Amino acid sequence: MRLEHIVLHNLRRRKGRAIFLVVGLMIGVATVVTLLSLTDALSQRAQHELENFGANIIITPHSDQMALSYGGVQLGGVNLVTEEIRQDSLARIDDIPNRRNVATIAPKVLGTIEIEGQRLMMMGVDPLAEFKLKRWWSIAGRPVQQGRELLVGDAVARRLQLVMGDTVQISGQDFTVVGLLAKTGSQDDQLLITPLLVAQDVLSKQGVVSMVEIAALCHDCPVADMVNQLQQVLPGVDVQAVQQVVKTRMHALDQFRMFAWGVAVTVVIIGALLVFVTMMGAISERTREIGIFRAIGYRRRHVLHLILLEAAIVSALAGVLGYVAGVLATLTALPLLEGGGKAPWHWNPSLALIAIFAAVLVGLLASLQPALRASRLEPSEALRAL
Amino acid sequence: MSLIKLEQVTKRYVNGADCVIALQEMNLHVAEGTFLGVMGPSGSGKSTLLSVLGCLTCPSSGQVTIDGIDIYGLSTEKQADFRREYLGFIFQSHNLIPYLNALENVMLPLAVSKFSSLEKRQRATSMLERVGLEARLLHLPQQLSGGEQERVAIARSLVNNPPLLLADEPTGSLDTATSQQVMSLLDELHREGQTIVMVTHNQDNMAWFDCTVHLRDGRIAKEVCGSGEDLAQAM
Repeated sequence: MRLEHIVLHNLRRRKGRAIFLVVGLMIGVATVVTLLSLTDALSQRAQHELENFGANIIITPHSDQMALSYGGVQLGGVNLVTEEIRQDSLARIDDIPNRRNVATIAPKVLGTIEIEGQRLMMMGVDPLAEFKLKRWWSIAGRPVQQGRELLVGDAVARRLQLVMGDTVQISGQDFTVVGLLAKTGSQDDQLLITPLLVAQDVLSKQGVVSMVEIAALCHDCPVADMVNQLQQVLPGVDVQAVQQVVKTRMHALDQFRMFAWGVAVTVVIIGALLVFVTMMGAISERTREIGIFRAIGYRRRHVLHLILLEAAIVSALAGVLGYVAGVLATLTALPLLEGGGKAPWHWNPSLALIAIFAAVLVGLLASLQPALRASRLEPSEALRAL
Repeated sequence: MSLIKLEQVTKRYVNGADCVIALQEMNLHVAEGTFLGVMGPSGSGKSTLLSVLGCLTCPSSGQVTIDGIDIYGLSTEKQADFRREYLGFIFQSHNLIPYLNALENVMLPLAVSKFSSLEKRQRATSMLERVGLEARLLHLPQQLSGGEQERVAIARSLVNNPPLLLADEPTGSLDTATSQQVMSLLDELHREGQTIVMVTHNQDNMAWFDCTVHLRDGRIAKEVCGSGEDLAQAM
């Protein structure tokens, strides 16, 4: 027989109150777990999309003229590039404060070539960086690696009737088709892609690049700050942030996260009040018992121990059940929020531990005052209340 | 040798402008091994006296010494330890914990002691055997008769081997036959050397006491020691 036995016997005897307390706290924990799990899962999904979307910063040569094109439709005006970007200046990107957020730097050189009397666009790329960035590209064959190799866009391949292994002569040099790019529906379909150095040589643009795409692979990195930082280290170029759709979504998620935390805090406060009121009621109901405990020699800390242990057991149980209920609710709600898509939920042991720990903490804090009140009951007063 | 000494003990209950004096400059010495009866009309201070002796109600003035210890000079937590080690309480309404069985109720004072689980169980079992409840160990209080509940309460009060047993109307809610059984049990304990202070209204119980103090208006109106017949005549 120990104090724990008394607590467990009491909980068994007063099942109704214990169940009420567990259910009340459980709902609170489940709500918090659901909201936090949902925001976490949706943020991960958005981050995943952001990473797969490719670059979120584009560096282009400085131009004073407005582009007169939209969605690939040219309206007459042509940008007159005054100066291309010097490739060696890109080393200065390493100097920006947010360098650790820069995941990929993909420089490319663009220019026109002629094949069989047709003018086409060639793009020279850093193969490693480019193919890391364009994860959505579907290639029959393989990406270009080095030397005079070509990855041919879908529209070009159709027009020139190119197949894998064909040899194409460009500016008097033979190039081998090593890959065919599946239709993307973008300007990529009209490209002949080759390694950067080769393209610079063919286009006579040694040491310069036409544009640079940068991927900052983080869902909350300060892209706007990074644009400013890049602009400072590369003064003669235009630096722009892209992916507004994803950013808008991230903003919405941030607002949802704030809302979730607001609701979570409210629910926690309500849960704490529930525990407080229930425990106060329990103390009044158990005045007689407390008087007996004190009369037969229980110290104040023994009474405190009894009340707080009971609160801890009930709260821990509510924490476990609430976490499980929250996970189930998350798994149910995620496909609905994702429009039937795949729910990117992963078990987060930290959230499980935090949920249980927080439930116990709230239970204990809310029970502290009633427990102190119980422990301070004078045995003679408690017994007089019989 | 006096186990209990009350020196000029006064207890006042103050409620706003009202002041009730429950005990007035009371002096009382109780020798070890005595079976003392405390009698008197309602409001005479019997329960307050027991409460003061039980280290439950601090007197307004005076000194209470039990086994040489000034009990109200102790800290609150030390008073709790004192109650656990020196005192056994038998309450008028048994005051058993309803969700614990007889054995667990008896083990209650041992729950905060350093005895092993086995030792606690052995002590409680032996005490319940002593009061004749060996067949009712696992019964809840509501499954026991009033007399059985009283015996569980007695077993609980004795499980720590306290030097002093305090009983508040232990037969107050029992029928005559059951009252006799309980008084016989207390008498048996007394014959083994247990010091007992018992508050009662029942004149018939006087026959069991070594000494009886009769209270009136918070004072000892009469204190008589002797055999049961002597006490009856003297009162």
